[in-house]
Amino acid sequence: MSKIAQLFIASIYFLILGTGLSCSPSTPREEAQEVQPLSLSYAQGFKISQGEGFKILEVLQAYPGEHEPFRYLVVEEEGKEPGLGNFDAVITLPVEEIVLTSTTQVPHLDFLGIPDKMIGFPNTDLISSSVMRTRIDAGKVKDLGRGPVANVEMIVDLNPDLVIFSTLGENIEPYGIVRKAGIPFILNGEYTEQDPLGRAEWIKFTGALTGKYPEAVAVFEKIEGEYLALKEQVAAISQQQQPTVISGIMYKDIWYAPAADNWGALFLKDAGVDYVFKHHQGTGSLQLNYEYVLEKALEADVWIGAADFRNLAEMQRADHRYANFKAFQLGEVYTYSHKRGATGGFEYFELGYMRPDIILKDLIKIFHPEHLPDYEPYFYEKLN
Amino acid sequence: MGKGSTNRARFYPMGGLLLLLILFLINVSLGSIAIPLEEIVSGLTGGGISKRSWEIILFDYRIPKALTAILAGVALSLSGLQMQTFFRNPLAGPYVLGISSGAGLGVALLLLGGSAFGWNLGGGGFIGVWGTVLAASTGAILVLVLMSITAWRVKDSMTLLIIGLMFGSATGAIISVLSYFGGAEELKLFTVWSMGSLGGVSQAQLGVFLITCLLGIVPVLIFVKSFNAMLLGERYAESMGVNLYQLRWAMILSTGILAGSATAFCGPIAFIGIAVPHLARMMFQTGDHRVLFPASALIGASFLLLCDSISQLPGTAETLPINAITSLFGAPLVIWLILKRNFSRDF
Repeated sequence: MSKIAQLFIASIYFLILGTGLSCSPSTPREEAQEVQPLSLSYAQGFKISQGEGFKILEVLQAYPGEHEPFRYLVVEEEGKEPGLGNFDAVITLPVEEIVLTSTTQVPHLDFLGIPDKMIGFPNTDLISSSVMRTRIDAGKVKDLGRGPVANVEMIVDLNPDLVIFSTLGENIEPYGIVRKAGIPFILNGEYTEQDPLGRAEWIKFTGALTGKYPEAVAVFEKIEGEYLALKEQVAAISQQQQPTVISGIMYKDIWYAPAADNWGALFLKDAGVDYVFKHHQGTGSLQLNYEYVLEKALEADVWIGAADFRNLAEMQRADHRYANFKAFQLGEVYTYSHKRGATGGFEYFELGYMRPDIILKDLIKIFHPEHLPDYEPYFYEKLN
Repeated sequence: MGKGSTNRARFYPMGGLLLLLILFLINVSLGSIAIPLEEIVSGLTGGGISKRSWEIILFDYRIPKALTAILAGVALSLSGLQMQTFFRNPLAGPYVLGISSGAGLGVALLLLGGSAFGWNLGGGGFIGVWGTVLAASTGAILVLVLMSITAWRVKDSMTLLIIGLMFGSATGAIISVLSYFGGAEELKLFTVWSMGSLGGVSQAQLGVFLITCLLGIVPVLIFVKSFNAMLLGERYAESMGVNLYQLRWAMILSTGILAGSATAFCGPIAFIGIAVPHLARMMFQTGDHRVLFPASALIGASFLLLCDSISQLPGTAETLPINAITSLFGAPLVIWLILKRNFSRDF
């Protein structure tokens, strides 16, 4: 099919579905409906409430910075739409075809047992999940382009029932056309959530959107149980016995490491270790001067998150100043970047968001191996 | 050349070297970590330092960084002065004539090309250490050759400047396309490189940097008198027995090696190349290159040392990119120079 024909069809979709959407909420019920908030234990970036035959989702933090909450309505039974004001999107269950834009949500579909519903993704090479890879190789997932943003025309052309979109806060206006085409366009802000369990709890968000909420709750509770049990195991270790830990990597003379309240650093707290940058508050990345880091971390016991260096020798070749650290001299340097999918995607950033329990278990194995004698770390690998 | 300027010219080398030494000491004494001055002096004079981390900071970080600043300052200023005289254009410099953009394009192709074209250029360690240096030098020299071929045909310096700016825009556009498709990690590497840094040069690289600087200075020493003749125009220079063909290639070689290696090791550093020669002319009130070359070298080294001391934000854990500081000081300086005097009088 030629490009022009595709465009033409897209514009037809746009016309038909655009008018369809503007007509559908034209029968609001008169009386306000009762809604019950569904409790969330950790996540702060979204809210779910249950009405009779529908759910309302509110995304409070879709990207860093201030914004009005995004409100989405999920109609579970046709004809039960409430008259509760305007929504940024209306999803009518069942949802059969989904477009995702972040690898971190691919495991959501896997865990909810609906990987077959994903029909489009930008740069599918980034996906590592073996179930999804089989589907991609069979041509069942359309690649929406290799640029940093998904191709709008291709999304409109695919005409999915749901688009779950992740944005760093860049202009999403071009995606207005997706909304105009009548395709529910949902923003997911899980990455702004710093609490490890809070980030995993976003599976409930995906669950609510896809009609799999009870399944999502069950999956989450299992992971939560694992995580809390692991945390409990090392909770009694006193501060004096905790190993000191440095994290991050240097570009030129600037050291980049997660700040104390960052997702990656919060794991360290739960793993019973003393993080050298624990007083540097903030949720982002620290940029510290080499000499400051050296003074603070020269004697640190363990070094984690050493980018994708393959071994210590390569690290030293890249910058001989790495070798000054005690952790380097002892060979206690670990990285999570080696676990790659078949086409090169980082598993840590795909499965890791959903499985904080595995990350915590890996870290406890590294720092307190006596607690997990028979466990083999999944994401982390020691450099030799 | 007046009598006053000859006197200044006689006394400045000692004063300049002393100033450089003082700034060097200040530079290595300041940083995120407060190290007592007596420890620094003891360390520098071979007396040893009481704390191991201080020793590493001083010898593995601050001293190589200060030496890099001196070399880069010298290299950029000397190439700026040569280009200004040769192109007879007060705004010439490695940044404006697209040489930094050329180096940037080389590095972008190396770092970002992998994701954009699916290249695999060897292991990460190799790319990290010498790959960027080679890519930047190649890019810089290619642009300079292109610019020189253009300069050969175009006699008007304004036209040449505009062509240089256009060349910068074109390479900028290619870099944007590469960045658009680049992976997050490579993009970060490239962004960090493009902000400039003096603290990422290892001892081995410093050795190479020193050798390239010395190589780049040789043509300057040989042709210093010809540059004086160039001030009065190419025709006049030729009548004075200057071989323009030789001079042109000496200039290309010298500036390519000097600006290319400085950009390769430290990333593009703005304004040193264009501002320092003007400072030298202003301070010594002369157009004699026998004075201007050493003066520019000393001022360039001192200026970059000073900028680096500021960028370290002594006492804090953070550091500002060196480019931010050189631009913050360099841009107003150039504007002030333009307003203060008619540039064309220099040429």
